[in-house]
Amino acid sequence: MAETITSIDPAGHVALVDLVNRLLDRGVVVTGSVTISVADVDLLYLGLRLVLASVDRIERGPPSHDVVAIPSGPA
Amino acid sequence: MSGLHVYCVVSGDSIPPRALLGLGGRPVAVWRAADLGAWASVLDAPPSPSGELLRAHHDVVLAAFRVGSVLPVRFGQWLPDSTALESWLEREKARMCSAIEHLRDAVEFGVRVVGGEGEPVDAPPAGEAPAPREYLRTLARHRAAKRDALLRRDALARRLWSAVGPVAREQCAVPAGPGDLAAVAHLVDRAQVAPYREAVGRFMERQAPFRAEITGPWPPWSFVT
Amino acid sequence: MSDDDVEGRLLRAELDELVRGLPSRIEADPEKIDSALAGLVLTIVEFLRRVLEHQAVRQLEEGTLTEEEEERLGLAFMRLQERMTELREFFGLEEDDLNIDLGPIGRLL
Repeated sequence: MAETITSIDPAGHVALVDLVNRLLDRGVVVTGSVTISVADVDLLYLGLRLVLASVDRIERGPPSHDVVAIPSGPA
Repeated sequence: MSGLHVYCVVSGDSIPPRALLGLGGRPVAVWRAADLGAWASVLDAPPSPSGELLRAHHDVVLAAFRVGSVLPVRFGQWLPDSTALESWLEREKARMCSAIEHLRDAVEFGVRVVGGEGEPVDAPPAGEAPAPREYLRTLARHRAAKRDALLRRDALARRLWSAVGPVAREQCAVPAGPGDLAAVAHLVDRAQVAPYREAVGRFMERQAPFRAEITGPWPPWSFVT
Repeated sequence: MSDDDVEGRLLRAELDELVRGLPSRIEADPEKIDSALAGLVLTIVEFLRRVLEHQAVRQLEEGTLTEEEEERLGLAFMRLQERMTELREFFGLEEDDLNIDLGPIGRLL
């Protein structure tokens, strides 16, 4: 047979790499940023994906928005 | 600080089975707003990814997938409380209702065509301090090899789409491992799964000696817009 | 498909992998803040290093670098690579971009 078909059900057969590629890379996100909190206080939001979105602009000129977005007030 | 770990978003009337357990053996409940439901667990702290927790997250999404249309939520999405979760649903309701409709009655399959040679490793060999110009040139060679591999994967993916297009809704690329000649995911109507599998099989007969590794049916992770 | 598209996609795939290793929330108690932030900072530096490398390789391929510039860039990237390794070792961080703990099985990649 020219192909191997692996059913992901029952769970446990699915390879970790396939899970990682989906659960960490795909699916709905609540926010597209990394939140850093110290002692339960949210201090910093890093919009790294803003940079990913503007990779093309990096090649052609200065990006129009920052890597780091600091919130103006508490979360 | 405790909060809510979100697994997925579903249409309003879907509820988690009573016995369903999520991360850390915590119960899974549904929070509702705007005709949508979010399945989530209260946890003591935001979880860091591990093999075990990823599987636990995925098992909850699978449970939702078995009873209806589901929007899988990426691992690690964390909200401080119910109010925040319900507000998020309200804010995003148009986008999410539209995504749920788009994915209704569809499943995802992952297809990798394997059997190719591996690509050169990411970092150029350190060895005994190579000449700087040689270092740069080695970097360039590695990038060129990656570029060629990408173009070849694109070409094979296009041919695959020609073969399965009539019985699948969409195709998208997924991260490829070294040695993958193609790495894609397909969105397929539940009713078309059998003809889809046949179409992939016929396509692969023409790709001998290479094989396809197909995984699925998955909840539609890769097609959430 | 234009060259830019292919180049952009390659870089993007690399960066997606890097960012994937970041948790969406970094909670540090004041005692452990060093190692919590170290991983984040190194990821950002690695992120920038790859963008810079990518750009240098493009210029090399386009033939717009003098021999001296190639020499200087090569040296800079070699040094940067060494520093990154030292920093990772200093903070006890793994080389892999994905910090996925598989328990007894070991690292994913």
